[in-house]
Amino acid sequence: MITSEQIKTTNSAKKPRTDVWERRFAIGAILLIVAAWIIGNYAFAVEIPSCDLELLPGTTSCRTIEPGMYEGIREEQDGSQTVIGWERVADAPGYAGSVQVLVGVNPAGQITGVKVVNQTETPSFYARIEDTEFTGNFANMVVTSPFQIGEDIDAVSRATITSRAITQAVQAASYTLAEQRLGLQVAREQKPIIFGLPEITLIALYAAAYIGHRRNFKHKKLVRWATMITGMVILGFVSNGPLTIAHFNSLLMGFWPDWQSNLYWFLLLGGILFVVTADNKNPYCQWFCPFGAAQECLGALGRAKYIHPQRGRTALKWIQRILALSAIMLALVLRNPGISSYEVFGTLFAFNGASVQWVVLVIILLMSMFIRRPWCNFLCPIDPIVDFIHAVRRWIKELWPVRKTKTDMPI
Amino acid sequence: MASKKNKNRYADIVVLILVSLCIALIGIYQIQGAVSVLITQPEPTLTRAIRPGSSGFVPPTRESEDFVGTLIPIPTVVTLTPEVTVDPEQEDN
Repeated sequence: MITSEQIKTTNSAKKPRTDVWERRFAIGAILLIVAAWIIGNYAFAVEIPSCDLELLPGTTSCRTIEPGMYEGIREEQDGSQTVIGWERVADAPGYAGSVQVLVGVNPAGQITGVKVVNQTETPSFYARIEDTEFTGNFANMVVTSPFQIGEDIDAVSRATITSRAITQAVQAASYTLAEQRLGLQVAREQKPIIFGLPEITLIALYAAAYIGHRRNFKHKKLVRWATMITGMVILGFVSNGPLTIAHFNSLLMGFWPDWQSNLYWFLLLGGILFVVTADNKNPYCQWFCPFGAAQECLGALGRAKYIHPQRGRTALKWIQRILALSAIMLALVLRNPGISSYEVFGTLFAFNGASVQWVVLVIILLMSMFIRRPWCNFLCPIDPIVDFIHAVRRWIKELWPVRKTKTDMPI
Repeated sequence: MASKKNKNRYADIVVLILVSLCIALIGIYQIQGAVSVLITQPEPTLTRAIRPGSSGFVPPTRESEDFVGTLIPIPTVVTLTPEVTVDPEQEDN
């Protein structure tokens, strides 16, 4: 008769050493992430910006009406005060966190100036906003304008999400001032749901990957190439929307964008998390990751082989995990989801990146011609996150065993 | 057979060198990012983070619920446009 104690002993004896270390690492990672979140939340908190006299020309001082709303005053020579206008702080979710603006409005109901006071956007993309002086477009606009990208405001190319976030924040601030300071009625239209080519493509790719995953599917190779090419072209070069660690950082920090304008964000991140957690499969990386596809295309040209150094194999795997963990922790501590996003996806698909990213991209693309998917195997931070979810899922299943089904088999 | 083994070993070494180079560059990139944020960060504060995502941004406060009543009246001339000043006495007439 075998006792439950004996079964436990047998199971633990069979457990590979790496599995034990993986679990220790998983627990350590969770603790470190929680600690980083607490530090970031309290040490690098966002303060409400103060009044900016430059936004209301002629102002000599400001008075706080309420936190985030100010009245600009001019002190006259006879000692009287003239109200020059008002300022209001507002924010809206951008690509990698919140974008906060300060908007100045004069009593005639015109915007006198807009200033971005806090943002955590990817530096190379935000530089486009600064270079084009995007905020200058709002000057002299009427506070009750629609403030819609494509209607009365033109987005900055390759920084559309940031442009939209700034516009939404300006709209929120302007409408508040219009209603509360100028006594105007503003017809607040419902936000339009943005559902276009990237969203449709993403859903189609999920469906294709789901069908392609099935064991008895005959045209697996053909469908996989089709999804990869589609992913590379549409999700990569057209919309520059690959999954990055910034998505996970935003999720952990609670920087969730509004679903109407960012349905793609929810479909991409939510879809992958759902499939990995519920079905133990990863449809994204092997089937339609745009950068993975780019590497495989180059690999097909150079007849790349799967090379994994025998000696440093384990060390490389752990370094990849530590890189991902450090990126998440850095983002959480600094309250900036995009700051540690070291992927070179934007560099390839939007031709935009820091000099370091360009060097890494060139090395990776050259390696891809001879080695199968070097980025995915050695550097990508998404792979350790998926591994982590798999490990936790496996662990939970061991603690609470359930009847094994076909879908529980890992791919 | 031996030459194939050597070839594989060289391939492994090249891969290790290139991957190590990329890891070092990524490390530099992350440090650069952290330093840039720390430099631009005015002063770490101990105030609670304001939760973004709301279009109005500032959470309603007791004062803001009825902010008009809390405003301090200014006994002064109010400018309707930056250029034209309206005297309240003239307006009454």
